[in-house]
Amino acid sequence: MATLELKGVEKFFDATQVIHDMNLSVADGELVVFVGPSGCGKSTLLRMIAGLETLSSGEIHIDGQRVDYQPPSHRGIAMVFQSYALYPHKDVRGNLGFSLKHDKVEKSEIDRRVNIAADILGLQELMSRKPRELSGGQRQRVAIGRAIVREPKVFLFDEPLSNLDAALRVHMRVEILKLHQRLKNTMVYVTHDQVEAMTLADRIVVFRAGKVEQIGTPLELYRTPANRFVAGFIGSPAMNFLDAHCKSGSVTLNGEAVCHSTHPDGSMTLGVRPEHLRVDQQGPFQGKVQVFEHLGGEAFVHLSLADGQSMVAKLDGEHQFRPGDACRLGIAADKCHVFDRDGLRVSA
Amino acid sequence: MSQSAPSTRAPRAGRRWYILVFLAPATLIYTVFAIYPIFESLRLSLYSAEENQAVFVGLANYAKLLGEPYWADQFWNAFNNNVVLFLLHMLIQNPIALALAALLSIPTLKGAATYRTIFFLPTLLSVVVVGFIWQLILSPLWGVTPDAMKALGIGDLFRPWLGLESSALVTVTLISIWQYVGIPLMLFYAALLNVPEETIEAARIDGLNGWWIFWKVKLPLILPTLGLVAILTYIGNFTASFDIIYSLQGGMAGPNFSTDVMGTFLFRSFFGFQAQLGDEYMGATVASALFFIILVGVGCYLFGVQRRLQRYDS
Amino acid sequence: MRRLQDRLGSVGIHAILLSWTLLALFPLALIVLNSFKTRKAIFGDPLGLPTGKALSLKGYESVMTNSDFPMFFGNSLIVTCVSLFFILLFGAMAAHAVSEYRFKGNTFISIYLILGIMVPIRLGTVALLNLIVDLGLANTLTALILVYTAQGLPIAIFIFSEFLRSVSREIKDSARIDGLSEYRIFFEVVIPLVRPVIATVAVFSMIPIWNDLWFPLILSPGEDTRTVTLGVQQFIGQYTVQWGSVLAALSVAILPVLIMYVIFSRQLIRGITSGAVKG
Repeated sequence: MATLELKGVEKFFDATQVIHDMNLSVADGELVVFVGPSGCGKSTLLRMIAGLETLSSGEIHIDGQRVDYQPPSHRGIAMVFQSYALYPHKDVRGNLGFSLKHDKVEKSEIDRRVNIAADILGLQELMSRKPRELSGGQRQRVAIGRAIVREPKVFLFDEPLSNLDAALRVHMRVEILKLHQRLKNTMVYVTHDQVEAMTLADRIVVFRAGKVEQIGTPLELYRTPANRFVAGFIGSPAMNFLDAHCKSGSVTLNGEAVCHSTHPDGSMTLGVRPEHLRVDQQGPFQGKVQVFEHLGGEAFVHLSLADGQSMVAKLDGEHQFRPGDACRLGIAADKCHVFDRDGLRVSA
Repeated sequence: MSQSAPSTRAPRAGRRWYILVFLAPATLIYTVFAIYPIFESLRLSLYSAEENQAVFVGLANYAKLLGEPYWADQFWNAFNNNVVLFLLHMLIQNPIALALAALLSIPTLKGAATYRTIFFLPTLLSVVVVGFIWQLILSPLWGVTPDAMKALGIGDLFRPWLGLESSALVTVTLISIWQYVGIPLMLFYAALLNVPEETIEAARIDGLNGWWIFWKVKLPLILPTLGLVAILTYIGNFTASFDIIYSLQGGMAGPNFSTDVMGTFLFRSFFGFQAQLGDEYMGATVASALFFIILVGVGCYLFGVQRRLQRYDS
Repeated sequence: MRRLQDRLGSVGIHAILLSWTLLALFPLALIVLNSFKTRKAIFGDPLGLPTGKALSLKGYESVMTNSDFPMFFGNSLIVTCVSLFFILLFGAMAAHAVSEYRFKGNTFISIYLILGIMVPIRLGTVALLNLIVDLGLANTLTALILVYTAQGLPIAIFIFSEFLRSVSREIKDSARIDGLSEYRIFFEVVIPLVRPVIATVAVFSMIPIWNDLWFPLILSPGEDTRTVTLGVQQFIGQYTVQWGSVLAALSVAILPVLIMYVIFSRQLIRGITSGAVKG
């Protein structure tokens, strides 16, 4: 049980700065997800917390103790890796107990902890198998088990589900969530998949190019994204961004008024989530259907607007369109997002 | 990542002595016994012995090597023989290796494992052993070859090939090919196995048959290996060819120097033979000349061939 | 029709492969078979089997009793095994260092260490002999071991580091989190990881050492330090008339390699073709 605190953490690789002045505190028992496109520095920051990368400046505190000059094994952390990182020459039991054996923990204690972890993860049947005899999901479970037996203050996950196929990924995601509810440990989880972030996180940290774009609960990020980047990153399918104009507090697109905004007069970006659009003969978005995808319960319509811009709407499965059909969509004014020319959110 | 955890601020990177420990043994042995001698030989080639003293003579040794008929004749003879050796290996050894590798890599072939085990066997044997085996087999004294040729009705064509000036070099080359075909064979074989099955299936759907798939799809994909084999052949030809010539024909590379190569020439200039005394400075000069010849080859490979022979993998 | 064509093609392919098999094996079989025969049988019927009256082990007797062959064997074995041990250990250590750690000069040292693949160490023979003499190592097995280790390191480092770069870093990071020191990570994690390529590196390093003629001839031609290769070469030079002994000596030199190869060939060829040495 522990808190995690980053104070002014920075990282340079040679002359390139990959982490900019990072400040973050993670509360005891909180599950924080770092999310962002690849190369944004989220994994580097996680490795710095683990002690696998050195800091260029700043401090890291775990459970109130400064740890940034300590080796990884002294920090009270455990880490689960994307490639599982199991020792290929040891069986499951050997992999689970390896770190404890190295710490000269007593054999009975090792057995006790290994068995607990094996029970939690359903590994009892597999204890004498080598990693190459396990499926991807089983290997991932062993990797998580290896973290559990360390009884760490903080769990670190580095894209743990990226190597699994889609169905297994959903399943393991639920497993990890259950694990968190059961162990109630502080956890930091890195992923590039916003669905994982939304479903797992107590709080999400969105990264871009070594900087934090926004920190907040999943719903905060979804409802009030701080900028275009976060808005486009969170939510699937991605938000539509349309070039629009604002004049005396009214946002217009192709001559149709859409919503109100405090944005000064001039051009701006209108953000509209596909799932908030609905068919509406009075609606402001008028265009021709380009592609219509029916998924059974829901359907996506790709629309080409009069000025050539395109947008996607997620409709319920009752609708049926053919390419070339005319279509008119509307939206509740309070679901519209307005961004200024720098991409920053403008409150309504 | 310093292992001790002092209460005051530790240096960020720590002193990573272990990197040095991991690198030191290999770097030390390699530098002292491989790199230093090569550069020291280059340096020695600029000196000459006068009254038991090493005297700096600049490029005089090179002028002697290429200018004085006694040295120049031997040098160009050995160099030309090496070129012939190289071309014969390129024209005979590597096509045979490629053909055998292509046959071995046919997925439905039965017994491929046994074949490749046998084909690589001669490569493992000592050149000395191989040399003498063939010397005995080709010897007129023993009569294995003359008898065999008589049985085929071509007994009159038998000649003591290793002993004739006109045929000795080619015969030595063929023996060398017999022994070393295994190396390019394995490199080609490995490259052919790495051609993705899907690419071949796509070619099959495009209507290509076995022969054309090899010619139009597989061969272009293994071009980088072809370049690698060429440079390995080149280097081996200029240095390793000493062993087979020395064991078959001796240090004099007979008959009448017709099989002399740079390796045997270097050996004689360094250690001397018959009346000629050994001269370490001329030895170093020949070795350095060889060094530059190899450098040219490797340079051509790195900057020309390899750059053009794009890698398709990854 | 199509099937017949396939079958003909397959017969043709096997015919070609079998011919080369014959060509590869015939000379070896000829020597080994005749080494068990009497002098008369060797000349009278070279293609016959060593049975009945033709059988004779005289050649082997004289090789094993009247010569230093067993000692040459011991020398070759010592030189090859010790060099191999150093090549594998030091090569893996250096490869681990350049593939695992970021440090200043990493690129330089990686290139420096594998330069020797392209520039044969033989070119430095003149200075190398001087060095060995100065160190008082002339006519010792130590000289050969040091030179062969230096000669074998570049290809070993190249193959090991290519392999280690393809192995996920995460497993080493995981060991770090488990609290292993960098040395223990090397011995307990990296060494087991590189096990699959050790066979490949061993073969690539071993063959040229076992078979080398140049360095034994120049650095340690002494009676007591001769290797098998040099020993056979000089033995045959002395006894050209005693055909039985010559053939026996050749067979003795072939057989251990042959036996080793039969035992390890599967592993060895898998190593070579596994892509560890992709061009």
